[in-house]
Amino acid sequence: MPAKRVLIIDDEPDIREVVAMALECSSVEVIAASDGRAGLRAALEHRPDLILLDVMMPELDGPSTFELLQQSDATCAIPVIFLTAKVQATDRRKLTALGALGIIAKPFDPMRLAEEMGALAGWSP
Amino acid sequence: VKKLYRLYLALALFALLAASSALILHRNLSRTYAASVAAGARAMKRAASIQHLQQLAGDVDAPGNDVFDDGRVDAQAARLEAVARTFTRGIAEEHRNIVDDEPPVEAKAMLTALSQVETEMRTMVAEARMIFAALRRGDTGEAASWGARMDRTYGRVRSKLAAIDSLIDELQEKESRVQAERAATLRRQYAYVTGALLALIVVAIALYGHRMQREVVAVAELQRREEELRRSNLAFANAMEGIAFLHADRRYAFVNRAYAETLGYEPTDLIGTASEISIHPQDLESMRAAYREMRDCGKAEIDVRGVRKDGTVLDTHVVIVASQDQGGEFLGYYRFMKDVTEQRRAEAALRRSEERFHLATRATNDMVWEWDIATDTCWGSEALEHQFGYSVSGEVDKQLWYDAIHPDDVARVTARQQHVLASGEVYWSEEYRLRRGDGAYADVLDHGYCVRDAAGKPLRMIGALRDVTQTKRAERAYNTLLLNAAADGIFGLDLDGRATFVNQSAARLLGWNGDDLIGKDIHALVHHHRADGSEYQLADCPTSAAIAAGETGGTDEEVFWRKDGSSIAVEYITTPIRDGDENVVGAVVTFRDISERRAVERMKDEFVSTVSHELRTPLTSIRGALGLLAGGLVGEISEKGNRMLEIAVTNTDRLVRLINDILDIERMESGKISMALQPCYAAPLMEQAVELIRPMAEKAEVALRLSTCDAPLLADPDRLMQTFTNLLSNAVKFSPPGGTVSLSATAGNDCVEFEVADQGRGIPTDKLELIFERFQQVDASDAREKGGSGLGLPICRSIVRQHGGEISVESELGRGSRFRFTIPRLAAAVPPHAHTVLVCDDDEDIRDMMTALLEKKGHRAVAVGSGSELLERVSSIAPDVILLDLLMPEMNGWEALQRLKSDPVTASIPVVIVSIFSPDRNGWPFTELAGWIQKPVDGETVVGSIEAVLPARSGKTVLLVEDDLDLARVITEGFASHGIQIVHAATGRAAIELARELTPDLLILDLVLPDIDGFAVVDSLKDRRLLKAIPLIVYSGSEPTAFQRDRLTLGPTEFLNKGSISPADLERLVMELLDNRIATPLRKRHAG
Repeated sequence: MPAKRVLIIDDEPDIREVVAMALECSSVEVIAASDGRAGLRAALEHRPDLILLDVMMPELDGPSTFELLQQSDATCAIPVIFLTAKVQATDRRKLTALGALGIIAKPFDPMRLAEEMGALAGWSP
Repeated sequence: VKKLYRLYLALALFALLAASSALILHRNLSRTYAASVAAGARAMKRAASIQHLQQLAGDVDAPGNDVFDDGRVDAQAARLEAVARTFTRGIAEEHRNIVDDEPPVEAKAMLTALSQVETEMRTMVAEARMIFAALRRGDTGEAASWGARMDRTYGRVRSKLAAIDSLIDELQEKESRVQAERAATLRRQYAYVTGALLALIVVAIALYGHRMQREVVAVAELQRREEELRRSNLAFANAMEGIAFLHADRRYAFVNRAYAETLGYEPTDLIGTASEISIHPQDLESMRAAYREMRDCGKAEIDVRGVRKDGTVLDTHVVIVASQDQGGEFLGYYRFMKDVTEQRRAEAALRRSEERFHLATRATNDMVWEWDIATDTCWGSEALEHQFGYSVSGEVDKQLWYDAIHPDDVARVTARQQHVLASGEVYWSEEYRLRRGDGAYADVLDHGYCVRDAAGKPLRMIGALRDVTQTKRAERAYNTLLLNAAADGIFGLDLDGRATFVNQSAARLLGWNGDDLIGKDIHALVHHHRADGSEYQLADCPTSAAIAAGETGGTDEEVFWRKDGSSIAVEYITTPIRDGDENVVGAVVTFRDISERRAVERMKDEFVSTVSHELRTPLTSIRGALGLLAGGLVGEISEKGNRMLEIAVTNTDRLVRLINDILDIERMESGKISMALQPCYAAPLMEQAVELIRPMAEKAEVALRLSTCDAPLLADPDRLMQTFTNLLSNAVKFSPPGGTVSLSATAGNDCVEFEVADQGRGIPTDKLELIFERFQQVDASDAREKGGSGLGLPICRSIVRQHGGEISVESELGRGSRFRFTIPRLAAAVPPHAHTVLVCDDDEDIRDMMTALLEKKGHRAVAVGSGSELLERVSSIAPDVILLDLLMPEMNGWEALQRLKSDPVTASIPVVIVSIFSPDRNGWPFTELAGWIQKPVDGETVVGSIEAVLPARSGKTVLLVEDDLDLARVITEGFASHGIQIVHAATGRAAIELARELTPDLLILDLVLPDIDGFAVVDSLKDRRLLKAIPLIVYSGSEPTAFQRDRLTLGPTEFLNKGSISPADLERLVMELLDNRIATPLRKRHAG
């Protein structure tokens, strides 16, 4: 099975790095983008198998980025998992209703990130 | 009287005479009768003697004849001699008897005849002897000739005897005649005497009676006169009024007791004394003047002071009347005296009282009035003039009052007064405006007291009317000051929502000049739009509700619009204003500017949100980096280093929890989060919670025990889970290894009680109250050791309270703690589809039993105990069916049935007879009957009979498309009792398939489904001829847009919002749609 390619869009470089390091250990190729715009470009350019999308970002926030991804034929098929510090059930429901694949709450355990992600995406372990 | 006695004596003598004569006559008559009887007896005896003689004669004749036959001459001769002797003795005896008994004249004749008989007899004996002699000689011829001779002699004897006999007869006849004549004479005399006696008696009685009557009357009259005389004397002597008779020289000739006692004397004391001793010296002159007047005119009257024996003075009223004889000579005079001291005193008191009353009314300025209800006349005190400026007082026309009351008040005032009169109350009090004489209106306070007769009928009303204009004005001024001083804005509104009052704060807050707002429609002016810019309909405004329904209302989520077009966030409350009769006459709106509060809240929200993000972001990095380090991904780390990393990870996690909990409780308690209440079941949530905790429990070697209950709840499942896990994890944390933690649920009537129990160390009593407060752990070290945030229990409490439940704890040190909390059950109200059944039975037990039975089956049951109650209440209850007993006292079931059927209003209600009787073999006698149940009843029969009568619903199929299995279960269960089949589809595709297969009678559709959504399901069904017109209920979490509504329509379609509609409402709607009787859009009703 070819290695999966995951795009992480988060404005926090430390988090991008932790995600990258955690996923690379599980042989996942990680592309990182520092904001929504960069994320959209990266998605178009690299066609990742999955996008990890931060919710609270300056300028273009997570949900807006998601909308734009959905509007483009090239990216609308890419499954998206939100990474969020919002843990309220209502927030979760709102995000789910948008059509995202799932939610991973921040802070997350980096050692279990790949596992969680794969479970949501339905990848075989 | 003497003459009468003589008469009576004469009468008595006469009567005696008459009675004696009657007695004598009677004796004579008796004698005559005795003589007659004796004569009769004598005659009989004589006749018998003669007959004896005749027989003897026959005996004497017999031997002379018999000898020819038997030839025994000697024997016959001896016989003859014996017989002859007997005969001779008989003749002698008869002779004696005649001499003794018969009257001499007749005796002589008889004796002559008897001696002839005797002579003949001798001859006959001699001739018989000759026969015998001849026979002895044998000369039969001669014997025969003697025989013939003897026979001739015998004939003569007989004839002679017969002659005596006839003599006797004659004699008797004669005697009888004489006696009869005597008897007749005596009888006549007797009759005369008796008649005379009777006549005498009658006369005597008549005379005596008449006389007696006159005597009695005379005596009675005498007595009456005596009594009268006695009484008049007594009356005079004992008269209450003092009466005295005085001689012409003014000395007392007579005084009665009252007179003497009035003056303190005994009557005898006064007689003979001069009358002056009883008159006050100062009044003697006027008394003398009165005396002279009496002498001139015959009578005089005067008030003088009297003097008692003891010297005290009394007021008297004296009348003196002259007494004259027939010749006009003055004899003396009568003096009638009355003690009027008390009367004078009372009169004086009354005068003082009137004066006081008069002064009092002047002093208080009250207008005192009296209303005579019977004559409808009024009296008003003079305050009417000097206080109210009218030109009249005293007797006034009642119309004056009516006319003077302010036109807006008159109806209320008179109605209240009439109410007091009619209701039997006595006090009436009213404030109103009264026009003064000068035309200005005064505020008055009017009090009345109603005087009633013994029967409670109002006679008069007396009251006082006070001018309170000044008081009122001051009060109003003060109230206005108060209201203007208030920091809150205050409006007074009339029934049309127009401002009647605006305080200064209200004017300032809204940027208006206060007076400009008076009379304006406040809703149109300041409340016309909502904060989001949508128009605010008056009908939705809490203020208009307060006015219309009299309910207090308000909110803190709306804005008021200022004059300059800007808006301010306000919190306001509208309270209805009621008059004395509890009628709403307007409303008062109190509001305050909460813009600042809103701004602060907004800032806080933003702050919380920022903190949430800003704290978590570095934490995420820290946690991530630590996690990677601890996971050994970045190279080997020493054992000590690993230990340090572990500490760092644990505490990072703790910090995260703490932040989460702080945010959670902050938002929950500020009301930012509301519970997403929905019908759910407790059991699965409890199971999930236990499963979540299980790894932790296993690690702590704590056993978990679960006991669920199956009641449906109205709750937010996520939050309920959170509460379970919080309590369970606490319980596990504080349990010793080997302990048990249990989670259990008990269903109550309104709510379900959950309990989490542990066997831990327990909580000290002084901490029990505190543990639900923030950061109030029992032991400060707990936070470190157990890793809790100190916010778990406050969060639990917040969640439970927002559900409308309560949480509490019980604990015993060293034994463990029990946390209990309640969550409301899903309202199991009377099912909306229920039928109303009216049960009529005189037996209370049966009524109770039937009612319970019907209610258990989901019907509304009303019970009545008699036929008359049934007829009385049937219209208001409007039952769908009536269960009617037959055997009831007073009105039986048949009669009630006929009355029901003869009234067009009730004729169509189906009636089922419930009776111990069985129906006639040919069916029940009344075609109107819908059914017949024979007692004793059982539940199935009753419910079966009712359902047979009512519109049928059973057998219908409803397709429920819902992916939330709990919700589907709740709904399905609700319909189970109606005989409606619910088919459940959890996905859109399954729904389409099942719809095609079953052709349901109704479709309940959730819009959000896992595979294809509700729109796709409807689109697919629209293509089917059989399905495109079925009733549809769209039951979803979000409000569809108009476009979506269009797209979602099949047959009759209703849109329900899960958030605002309960399962019971859904049930009702389904029933209405199935019964084809949808009338009003339910959604609208519940949307507000």
